[in-house]
Amino acid sequence: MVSLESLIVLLPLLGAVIIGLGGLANAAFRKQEGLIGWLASAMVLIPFGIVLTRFFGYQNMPLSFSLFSWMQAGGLDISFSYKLDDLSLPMMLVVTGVGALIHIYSIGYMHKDPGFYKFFAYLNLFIFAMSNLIMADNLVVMFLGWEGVGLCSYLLIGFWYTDMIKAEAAQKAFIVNRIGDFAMLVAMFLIYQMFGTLDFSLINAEAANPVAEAAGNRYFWITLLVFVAATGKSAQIPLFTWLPDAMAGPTPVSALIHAATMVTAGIYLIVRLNPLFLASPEVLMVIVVIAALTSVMAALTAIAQNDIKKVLAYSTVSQLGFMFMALGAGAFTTAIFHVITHAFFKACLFLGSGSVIHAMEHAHAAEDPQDIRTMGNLGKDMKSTSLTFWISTLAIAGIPGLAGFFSKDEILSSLFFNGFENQVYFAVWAVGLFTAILTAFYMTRLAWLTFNGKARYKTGAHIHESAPLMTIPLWILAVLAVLGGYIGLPYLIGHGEFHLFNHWLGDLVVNRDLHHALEEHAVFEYLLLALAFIVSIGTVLFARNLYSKHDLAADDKVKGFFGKFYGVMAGKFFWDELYDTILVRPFAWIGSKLLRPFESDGVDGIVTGAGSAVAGIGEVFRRLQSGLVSNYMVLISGGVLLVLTYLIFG
Amino acid sequence: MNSFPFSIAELALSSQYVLPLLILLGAGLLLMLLDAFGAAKFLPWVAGAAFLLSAGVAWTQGAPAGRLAFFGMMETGGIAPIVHAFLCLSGLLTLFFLSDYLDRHDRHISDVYALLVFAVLGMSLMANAHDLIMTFIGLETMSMCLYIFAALFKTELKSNEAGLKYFLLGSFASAFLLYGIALIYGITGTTNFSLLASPERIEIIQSQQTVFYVGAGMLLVGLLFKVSAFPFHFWTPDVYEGTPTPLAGFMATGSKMATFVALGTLMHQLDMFQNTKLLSVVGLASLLTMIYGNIVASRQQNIKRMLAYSSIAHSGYVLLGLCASQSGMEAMLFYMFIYTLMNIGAFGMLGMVEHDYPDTELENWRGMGQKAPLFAVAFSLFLFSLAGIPPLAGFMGKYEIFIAVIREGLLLPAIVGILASIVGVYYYLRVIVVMFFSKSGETSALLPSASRIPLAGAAILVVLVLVLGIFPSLILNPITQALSGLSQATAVLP
Amino acid sequence: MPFLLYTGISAYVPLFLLIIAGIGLGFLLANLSVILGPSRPGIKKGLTYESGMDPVGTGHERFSVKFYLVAMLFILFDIEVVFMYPWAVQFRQLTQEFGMFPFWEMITFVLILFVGYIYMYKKGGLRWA
Repeated sequence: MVSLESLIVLLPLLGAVIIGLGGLANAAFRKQEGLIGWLASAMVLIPFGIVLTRFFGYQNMPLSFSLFSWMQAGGLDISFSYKLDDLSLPMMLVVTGVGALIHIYSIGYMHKDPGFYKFFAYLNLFIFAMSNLIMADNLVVMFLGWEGVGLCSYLLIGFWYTDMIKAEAAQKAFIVNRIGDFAMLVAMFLIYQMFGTLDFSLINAEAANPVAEAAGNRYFWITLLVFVAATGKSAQIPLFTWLPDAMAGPTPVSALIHAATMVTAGIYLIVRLNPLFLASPEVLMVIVVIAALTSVMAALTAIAQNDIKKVLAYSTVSQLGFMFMALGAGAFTTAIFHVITHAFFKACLFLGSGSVIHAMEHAHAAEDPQDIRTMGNLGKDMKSTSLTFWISTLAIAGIPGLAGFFSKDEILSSLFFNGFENQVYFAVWAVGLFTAILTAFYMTRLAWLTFNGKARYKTGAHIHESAPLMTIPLWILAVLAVLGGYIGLPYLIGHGEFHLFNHWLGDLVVNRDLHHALEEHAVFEYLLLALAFIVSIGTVLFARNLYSKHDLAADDKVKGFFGKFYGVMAGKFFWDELYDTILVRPFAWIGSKLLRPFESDGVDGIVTGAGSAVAGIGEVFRRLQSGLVSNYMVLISGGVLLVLTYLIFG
Repeated sequence: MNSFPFSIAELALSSQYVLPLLILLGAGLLLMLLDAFGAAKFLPWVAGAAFLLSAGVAWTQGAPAGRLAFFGMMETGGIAPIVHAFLCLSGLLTLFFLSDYLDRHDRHISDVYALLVFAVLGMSLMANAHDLIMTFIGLETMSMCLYIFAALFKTELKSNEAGLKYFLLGSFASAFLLYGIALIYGITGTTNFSLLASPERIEIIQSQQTVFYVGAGMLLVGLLFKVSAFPFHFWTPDVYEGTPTPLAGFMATGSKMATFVALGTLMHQLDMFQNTKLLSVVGLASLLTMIYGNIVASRQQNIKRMLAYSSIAHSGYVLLGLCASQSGMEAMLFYMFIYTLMNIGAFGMLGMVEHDYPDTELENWRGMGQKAPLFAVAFSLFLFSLAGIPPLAGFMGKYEIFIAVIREGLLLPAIVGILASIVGVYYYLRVIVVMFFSKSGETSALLPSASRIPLAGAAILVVLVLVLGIFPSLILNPITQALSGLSQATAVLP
Repeated sequence: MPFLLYTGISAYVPLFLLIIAGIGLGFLLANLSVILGPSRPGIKKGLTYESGMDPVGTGHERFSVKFYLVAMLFILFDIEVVFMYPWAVQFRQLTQEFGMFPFWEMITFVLILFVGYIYMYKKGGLRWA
């Protein structure tokens, strides 16, 4: 039963169990940092190796394997069955590959943390849940992973929380995700009702069936709900607010969960169900508009932030917006392409920021080790971190030749060519282009203020480069951030002939067919490419010059440029305040005003009346006579009357 | 001259099938005697052995539906053996936590074991009744024991209040039940399920719609009271709060399971209850129950009261499942089994630390995760399972219910149910947050019970909750098999 | 009205009539003496009847809870005897049909009662102090 593939799922779970239980039970085990760290890493590295061999030995035949039958109920047989196919293989490569690197990095980063074992147990558990999510053959196992990653994310966000107020922030992440989960569950049950199955391949086969397509937009609600679920997990409007708050967790977690893997789960799911989405253009339209708004809003917010991790967090929200724009344009393969390149450079950026924070903390260089206003010129002492961070910055800014350029250009061009069918896409394209400019700007600002210019941290503080355990993963990721884009060369090079990634996914994931528009308006392809060249390089150079000239004071120029609007940007568009007004307060009001009479809890009365046991009996009767029980009886009788009235006259 | 409609041979046969019940009866009497002669030390062990034996006999006796005993008063085939075994299990699991709890509170009330056995006996009689009279007798047998449980700590004010409230309101509800039975008997001339299901009786009922509705409505109300469905739930939090904690867990699981099975049997075996109006009463009660239970639970500052409201909410889910015909019955049984495990676990563990903080206020649980990590992890597992987070057993239970409901095409109620359960996650989570993410204040000095037996009980339950989440078929398959033989009340009276 | 004779609730009309007649008769008899008898109230006549003794103290005195306990136990065991009446009346017929089985059955019942009695006794249910 235990095939080699099943180890991909089982090993991380095994690691989590061993480390978790061992740490709980044995204090001596907790101190074995080397053992714990490398054990956890091995539990991800081995699966990575297995996925790698399967990837290169792939024969266009999905590898299915099943652990055991989970449940059978009424003809519905749900198994723990997994599939390594065109889509899940590359995703698994990223998850296990980047995951392994981040595990290794964490051995250095979490050194001497009292919760060391807990951290690695959670990380392994996360990899397990993520593998379930990606390789699942049916929606139920997918949902298991979906919940699992949310739970791990929650545990890891709250990892360092010691006080109640911050813990409630972690809770917020979980609650927001539950709204998404609600949508997910309803979508799941709707799918069951419509298709009679929860198996991905059966659902997709049914949806791609032309007879079914003719039935019009039957999938409207399903796809809309799946999208709502995706906005929860993948941080889009209106459910994105938890992601910036999630940055309170340890930085490797931000890199792994809140940048490279978990937050892309929503995108993955939509791609997985692409036939449904292709058949509902209205929802694709909703997606593309929401994504564009999220993307530009997050980018604007990022410009006005000073916390290194917050900037990266908003940048992640913005980049996720790009991926959703691709989905909205029906360019599913492009979205996955961007997921992968983004995983490389964003993980590198986060790990780099972790390295910076680590160094700042150790040198006690500033009050707040995450505030870029108190950094500057760190590149002098942190060569590796600085260099890899810059490479990734250029990649995300879309500098030609680096990974981000290819995927982002593909997204923009697919938006643009959709515009020939529907003009809305032109507008979205323009927003996307604007966001790309903003991205290049705020990333250059971030990198410059951190690593270059004047040193603004406490004089005399000795900044040290991090240990090789941390810098080696940085370099590997930086190399990937450079080379990762070459798996998908633009359409105009050989009419998509050399887009390896599209070919790879082609059998399983069907994009909206833009072939016609691309051929007809080929000239625009060249223009777009030229535009991408100019815009990215131009913006980076502009930002670099601005900040190298004025240093921190350049922020005032930016402030002047945006005027009053800058306050909105710095205030993160006031989403938290909005939620407080429209959600939290009404709920509190309902709770305190509306439900109070129903609660009628006798606790207060009892506590005050429980003076002595002698007086007790009398007290009970007094309370009974004061009407509590008779009130209950009246209420019950009222219920009976209602029931009977309905039955007789209804 | 044969003036009696039965024979000795039949009686002998049926006594073989009611052996599990007889075991409980004998054990109950034995416990009373042992208690009277001061052998209090052995009581929990005797009770436990009786539960095990009785459940074992019932389980191995699995039978085709319609095997009646006691002259058509009891069903002993179909799901009856399984239900009996489940009920015994809830008693057994309660035992794990009970004696330790009593010792800690320095109240050596040895009568409680006999009562526990009799309560399970009553539950089994009610759940597997094949006659409305039997339903009532079972319900009263069970309720009498539960009233005493509520007032067990008779010198404590809260317990007093709980017992008195439960007794008054319970009798009130029983009266409705009895009126209902009387009215149904009044128009049909029988209380036997087989006879009630016969075509002639159905015809009579159709000609006497109004009386039938009043009767059936009152019958429903009496049963809905016992499962604390809205708006007949008001007693629940007050009573659970005053009841010794492990017994509150028992109340919330065993008695509800028995009542649900009785309700389900009525609704699915008797065609006259397959009535849109009656179903919509149950459906509406279910929706209101889960909405109300979840919202109010989220406002509780006391863990025990929170669990009480949560048990109201869970009743809502199960009622929803009951609206969904056969597969709903299956989902309901499965859910109640899972719920028994996790809820007795949660209440039991609460009882383990309650002695140090008798008010079970949430505030006092700060820093539990540091003080007693294993305890906190186990308690969190139960809470997560109650919240329905996969892959724990609670998720499977909810999944089964909702799938069954959707299969019936009741999409909107299912959506409301999912929404309510999502709200529910919040308050379970809050407890976990308090346990793990807060600095331990100076006031808290909580350590779990050092006694081995409740810890062993908790460990067993944790394993079960984990295992059944991943291998639900272990329990689902036997249930499905037992139910497959039970499509209609096919049996005829001898 | 032949339909009264069989189906449904209407079969109970005679029963209702009987109940009404019963209640009516009770009221009638209880109040007949008031209506028919002479009424000459005096102080002595207005006193509570205590078997000829002058009443002592108030009428609202509290009783020890033991009274209720004993009363309850009495009712419990008293009620159970009710089951023996029909059994005793039918006993001869039953033995013809089933041999000694009805006998043993009642013995079982009494034994169960007896366990209850032992329990009550040993638990001090009858101990006054």
